[in-house]
Amino acid sequence: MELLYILGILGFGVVATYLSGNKYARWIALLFSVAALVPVLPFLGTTLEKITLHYAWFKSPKIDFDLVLDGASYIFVLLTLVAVPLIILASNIQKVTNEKSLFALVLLMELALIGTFTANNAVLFYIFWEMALIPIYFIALLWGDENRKQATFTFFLYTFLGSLFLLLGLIMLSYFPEMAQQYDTFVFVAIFIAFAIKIPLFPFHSWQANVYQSAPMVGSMLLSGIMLKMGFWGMYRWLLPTTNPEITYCVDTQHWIIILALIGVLYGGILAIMQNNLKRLLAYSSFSHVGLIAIGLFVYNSTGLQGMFVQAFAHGINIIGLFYIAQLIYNRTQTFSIHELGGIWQKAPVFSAFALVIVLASISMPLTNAFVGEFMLLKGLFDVSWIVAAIATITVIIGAVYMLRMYQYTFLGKTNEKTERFKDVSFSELLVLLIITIIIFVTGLYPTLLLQFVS
Amino acid sequence: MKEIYIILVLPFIGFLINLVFGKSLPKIVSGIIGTAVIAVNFVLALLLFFQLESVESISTQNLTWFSTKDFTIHFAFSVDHLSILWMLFVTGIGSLIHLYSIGYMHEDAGFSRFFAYLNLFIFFMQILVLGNSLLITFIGWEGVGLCSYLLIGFWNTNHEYNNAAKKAFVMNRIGDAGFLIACFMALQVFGSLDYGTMKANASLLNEQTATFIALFLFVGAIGKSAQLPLYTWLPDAMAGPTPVSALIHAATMVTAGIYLLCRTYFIFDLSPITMNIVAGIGVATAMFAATIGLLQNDIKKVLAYSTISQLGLMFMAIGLGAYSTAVFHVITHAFFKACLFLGAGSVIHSLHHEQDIRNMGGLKKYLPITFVTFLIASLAISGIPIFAGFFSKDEILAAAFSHHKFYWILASIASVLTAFYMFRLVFLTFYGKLHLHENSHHHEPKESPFSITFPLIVLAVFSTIAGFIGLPIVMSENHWLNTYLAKSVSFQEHHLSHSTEWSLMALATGLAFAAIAVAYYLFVKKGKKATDSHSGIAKVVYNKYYIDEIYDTIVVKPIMHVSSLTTNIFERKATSSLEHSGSAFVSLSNLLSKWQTGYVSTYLLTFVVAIVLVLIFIFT
Repeated sequence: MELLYILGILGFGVVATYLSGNKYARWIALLFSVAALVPVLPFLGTTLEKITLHYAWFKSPKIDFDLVLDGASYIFVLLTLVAVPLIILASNIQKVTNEKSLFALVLLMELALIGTFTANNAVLFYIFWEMALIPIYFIALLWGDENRKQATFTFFLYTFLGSLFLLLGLIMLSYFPEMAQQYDTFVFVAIFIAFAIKIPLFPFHSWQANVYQSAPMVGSMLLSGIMLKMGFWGMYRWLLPTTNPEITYCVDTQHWIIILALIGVLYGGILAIMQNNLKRLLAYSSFSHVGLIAIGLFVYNSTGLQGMFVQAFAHGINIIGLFYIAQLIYNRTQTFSIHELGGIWQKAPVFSAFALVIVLASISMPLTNAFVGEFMLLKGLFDVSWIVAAIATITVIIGAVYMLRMYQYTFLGKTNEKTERFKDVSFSELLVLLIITIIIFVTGLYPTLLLQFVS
Repeated sequence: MKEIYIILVLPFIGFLINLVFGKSLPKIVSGIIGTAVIAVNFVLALLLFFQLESVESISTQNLTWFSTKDFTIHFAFSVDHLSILWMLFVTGIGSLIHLYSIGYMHEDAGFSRFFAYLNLFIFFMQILVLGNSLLITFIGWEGVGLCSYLLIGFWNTNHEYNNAAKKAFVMNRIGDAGFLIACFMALQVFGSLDYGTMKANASLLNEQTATFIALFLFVGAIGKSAQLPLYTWLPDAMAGPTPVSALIHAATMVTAGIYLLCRTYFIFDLSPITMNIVAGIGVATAMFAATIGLLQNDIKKVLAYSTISQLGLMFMAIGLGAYSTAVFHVITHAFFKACLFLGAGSVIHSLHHEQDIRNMGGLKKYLPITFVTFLIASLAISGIPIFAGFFSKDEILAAAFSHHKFYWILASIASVLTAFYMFRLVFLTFYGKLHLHENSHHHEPKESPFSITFPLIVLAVFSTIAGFIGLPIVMSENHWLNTYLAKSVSFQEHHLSHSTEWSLMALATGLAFAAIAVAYYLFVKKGKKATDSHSGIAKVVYNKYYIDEIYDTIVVKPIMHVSSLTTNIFERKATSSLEHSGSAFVSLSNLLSKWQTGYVSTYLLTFVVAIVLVLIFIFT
């Protein structure tokens, strides 16, 4: 029943937001997205059994409208339902044209994401998967910066290619099992690539930095905060259980994927070190983080897998916070270039303090949300190979290098003509930062809140 | 048990008050709150100390932090004979340094922020010490690193200071990565990171796994305690306000590495190789840093290298199995080094932020209290009898002598060098004539206020008497510290005859006096000045063996180059080639659009064709 409420609220919200006009669209959308969060909140602190929503749909081929909310999907659903209102609230700092369409698209995307995370059959999953693509495509294309066309085009190429692979793989698995068995390697690779593009994993990442950089803040947040988690979810729910176990779980596959992901972890971190554009730096740092999260899926032990869930949640919250910081700075200085910034601390100590907390969370300080996940991911990897885990642990060093460099050039040092009139946060900005900080510490101090759903 | 909770919470409350309300509170209130919470903690720590007379340890309840199928991590705290000693000097010296800061920082605009950070530091340091599992210790471990970062870069409009702060954090993180890897291995072997569980199941370790865990824990200790090769952050960390140098970078945080090794002694004891490495790195660091200390001209840098060198001696002691000896030196060192730093701070304060000893001299008559206390602490660190450092250093040298003469010789040389450079500092700073910088204020330097001199006096007293907690067997029947720690760390009796021990003591004392006499002859009698123009080997030493430059060339610059290179070449190429393929599609679609309308459908068509081609290619 809860699922029906959520989908209903969101579906109604899309229409209501669009009809409400540009003046109120943001607040109407916020209202509906918060309302959609309410039905799942009572499950916090419980061990969720299973909630289903099932209607017959097509007779032949048999496709039912079949959604399931269980412990694992709950974490991703919760992330979506928490993150979207947060993003809408945060979007207040970036005024755009035609807000009714933008926020209708945001809610539509939320709806599609909930569908993706709860779909219980492959066709339905694919429909929601594609449905989530359309809003973000338009958000990036219509509201992005001057490079948006090129970036969105690359993004579209990549994801569409991925989707076709996915469709092919899923159709073969669902309707041509013999063929899927015969070409089991192809099926695995096809589905893997589809999800790897979305995350993105090395070497399928070239679309990512450009899109994160040129998309409007709402788009960057949706993409990095929630949408890439579709990739993890897809791997967890659709790749690993459905493909031929002899291929999926063989040591070779495992090693190849872990090595690719690990290259991404280190490569993304190294790329981030010398970035000058704040959003691009965040894009590469996100690229580095998600590689480690993906590793959690392929260590094939419960520690790594639980770490994957916890860290996916933490990453979603933290990257939204980081993009928010970037946009706040841009609004006041008209630049994302960290070399043109500096001294913000002198002018805006409250903002700088919150920014420091979020930066520290993103480099996994203990007691913040990202530490537990990272610890579990690395421990899970350690059980597979201590050498690889030792190499992966270098990420804690690289992360400190690029994040602290960013913080130093942006917030510390002397003010300049761009930052000398920097205003500290307003009440509504403080509210967003405060919510993010609270989530960071609550899930950092009491990760059991999330872990119990996947124990 | 209640005391532990209160101890943990109080500094955090102090931190919050100063963070949130600091700006609106008068400075004195802000400072008193910050100091009072730590002073109360010291009293509570004393209470715990007396409770520990009758029980071995006091633990809090286990709260689950997180758990998986394979392991559970608890928020668990415990105090035993080892940790209570740390608690006492962390809160004791901590409250003195807080008090000192009220005077030292009174003109600073960031006064309340300073106290907030100091309180936060004590909070994390207590977690480090009281944590009852490796991972709880790790919370404190990273937390004190964060506070160190914040306090080194306290004056954050200065680019150099910010660089120093970042360097400290990153180098510490290298160590932290090692710490984490050790945790993973320990979890794999024991299924738990609780010290009690690990100690009880130490038999599960074979030599190989013990070596693995011990080595990586030692990597963590190297980072935090500034040993070779990760020591270069500590001299730079002197960018922070002087009370910070005294509290964090001399007395407490940098000794966390020693604490960690003592806490996990049962793992180190199983790995003779690691013990040799610990001793080797320790003595090498002690020597190396002592030589650099000989020629430095910044009063705080000399003390920083001296700290590195003394920490090296402690690690050597641990490597030789003499854990309680290392703890002994940690405690005496905390007193005299805090005293030295605070004394240096008093000098700097009275000279309006002058740190170069070339611009000092003759301060004896202007700053009598600072001079006497600094002198006492210098005597203590030089190992002059009855002062605290004499006993602890003598014990280290005795352990080295009984273990291997080689260690003893190097450690003795390091000690002699220490005595020499410390008195070089004393003589150049307090004797001779005052050389004020030309454009400095011309009025005479004045002795610092009571809030600064009082901590100096207390620390000087303890620098004198703290050695009595570990009177050697040749002088008294009972070595109080060794007995006290007997249940917390393992203890190796060294077998030296009384006559050998007496003669070692006499020799060490003679050498120390000789070093002081040479320093007196050079810097007082001959009036030799500190200089920055050196040639030959002295130039290399003066430039700290160019280690920073070497690291910069072989590590920092290459990484930055690789980063720029990958960004400019691979990423841009990949993107532009994609865009080229994109524009190829566009021109193709332009072509197609002659008989197609809208763009998107054209792409779709192009795509489907392309995919079909790919599939045909794959399947045939």
